[in-house]
Amino acid sequence: MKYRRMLQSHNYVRILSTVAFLMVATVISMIFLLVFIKAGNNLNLSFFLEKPSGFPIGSEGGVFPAIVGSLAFTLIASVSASILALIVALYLEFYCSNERFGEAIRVTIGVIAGIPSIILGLFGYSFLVVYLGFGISLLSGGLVLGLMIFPYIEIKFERIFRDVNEMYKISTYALGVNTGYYIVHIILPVAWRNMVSTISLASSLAMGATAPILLTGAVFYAKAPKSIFSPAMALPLHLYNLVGENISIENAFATAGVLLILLVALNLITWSFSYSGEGR
Amino acid sequence: MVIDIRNLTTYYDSQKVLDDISFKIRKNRITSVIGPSGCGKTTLLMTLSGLVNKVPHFSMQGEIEYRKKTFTKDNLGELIGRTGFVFQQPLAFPLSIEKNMIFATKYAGIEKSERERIAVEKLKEVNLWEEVKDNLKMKASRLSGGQQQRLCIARALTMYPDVLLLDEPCSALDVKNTAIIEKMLVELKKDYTIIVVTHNLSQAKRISDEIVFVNEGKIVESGTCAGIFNDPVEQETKDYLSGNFG
Repeated sequence: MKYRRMLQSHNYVRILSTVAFLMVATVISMIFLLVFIKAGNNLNLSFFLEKPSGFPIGSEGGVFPAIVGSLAFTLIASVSASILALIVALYLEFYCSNERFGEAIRVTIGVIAGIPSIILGLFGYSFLVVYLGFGISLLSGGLVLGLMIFPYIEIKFERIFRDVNEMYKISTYALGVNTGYYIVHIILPVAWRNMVSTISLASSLAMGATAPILLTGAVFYAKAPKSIFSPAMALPLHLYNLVGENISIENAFATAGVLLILLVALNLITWSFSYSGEGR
Repeated sequence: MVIDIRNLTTYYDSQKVLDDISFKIRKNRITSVIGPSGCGKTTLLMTLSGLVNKVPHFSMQGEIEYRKKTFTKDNLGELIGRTGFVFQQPLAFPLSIEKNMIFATKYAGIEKSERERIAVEKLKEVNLWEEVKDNLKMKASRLSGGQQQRLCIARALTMYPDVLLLDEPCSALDVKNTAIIEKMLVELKKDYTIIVVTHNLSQAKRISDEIVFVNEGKIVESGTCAGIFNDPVEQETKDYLSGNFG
């Protein structure tokens, strides 16, 4: 009787899992189908390689400067957020002996995660653009995006470090080795694959964000940026302008298609990189 | 005598774990610490290694004399790395066999050729060299449980400790590997002083020269292996050895 009940509950879980998977797969498929059908023939190679043109601008041509801008914003965001997250997560997990101080840092990170992205953008405008004089630039926009994804990366990094077998730590200490050596030779080699996956997911989030770069780095039209102090186009803002200004719905969907292709490519590259060689 | 423990009392927060323990560990002997679960055996071993210093809320009274230096709560951390410590679970680092073996010596700044020489020497001491010499670049996690435990012992020996502390080293191993480890420990005692924590009385009887019986944080009785097993003085010891508790 008990066995039959267990079997039944196991079957319920299996059915629920299948339903959940089908729902997620359906939603994702619908998004992709809608975008690529609506984009139609506009989404072609020249759309990737040409700059926006026509009048109003964007009604013809492609999105090349926006692709470069989006990748550059994402790169700056990922690098800055990952470095900061790595330092904070290592400190909290291995060096912070004051529990209250550690908790205060964690609460602060939680608060940052909850700040609306437009407010982060406003902060970036006041502090980076005006006060530090970075101007409307890739650097300002990238750093604000970095601030937006930092809590996500930091919290995941901490969890990844915590998941490494605790016995490794005490075993290395028993050999007279210090925490820094343990981190470099055990923690990072064990954890790097999961860390790369985390950064990749956070980068996807950054690439699709509009509000943080609206006031800090992205502009309506610019050539491909030449330095980190140049303003740049970004795919999400370009898409917003094409729809908001009623410039070209087809090009808006084509831009969305480019953004989706970049996100999928980013995830596939990271996935193959993370799971190559020794596997999981 | 290698280690002299005098009036050792330890606490986690306010909970007393070891209660006024005093005994001596003699050189080139295998001393087994026996006792029921939770009696403080592992805490004793961790204290002798200094590793308790890394445990939050730990405090101690009393002193430990090791190599003619006295360690108290103020300098217990200096003991870390001076003794070799082997844990219950065979836990090779997630590195190659070679990198496991040079892990500590590389940290200590020992030259590459010397590191390699030490690694080979210690793998031979634990009778593992012949089994792994052609696969030193292989992930250590691919070794069997028994081989991993011998690797852990060899790794602990690379820093040339004169005392080897083992916390239930065979509890996760099968009979065959247990026999291999026991034989190896008996061979190693000519070069090292060995302290083994075990709840396996048969094992303690097979390998030990000295026995320390601990219960509820206190030493109930200590003496030679034959003396404790054949002619225990305390009723508590007799009850434990006859399986009445523990």
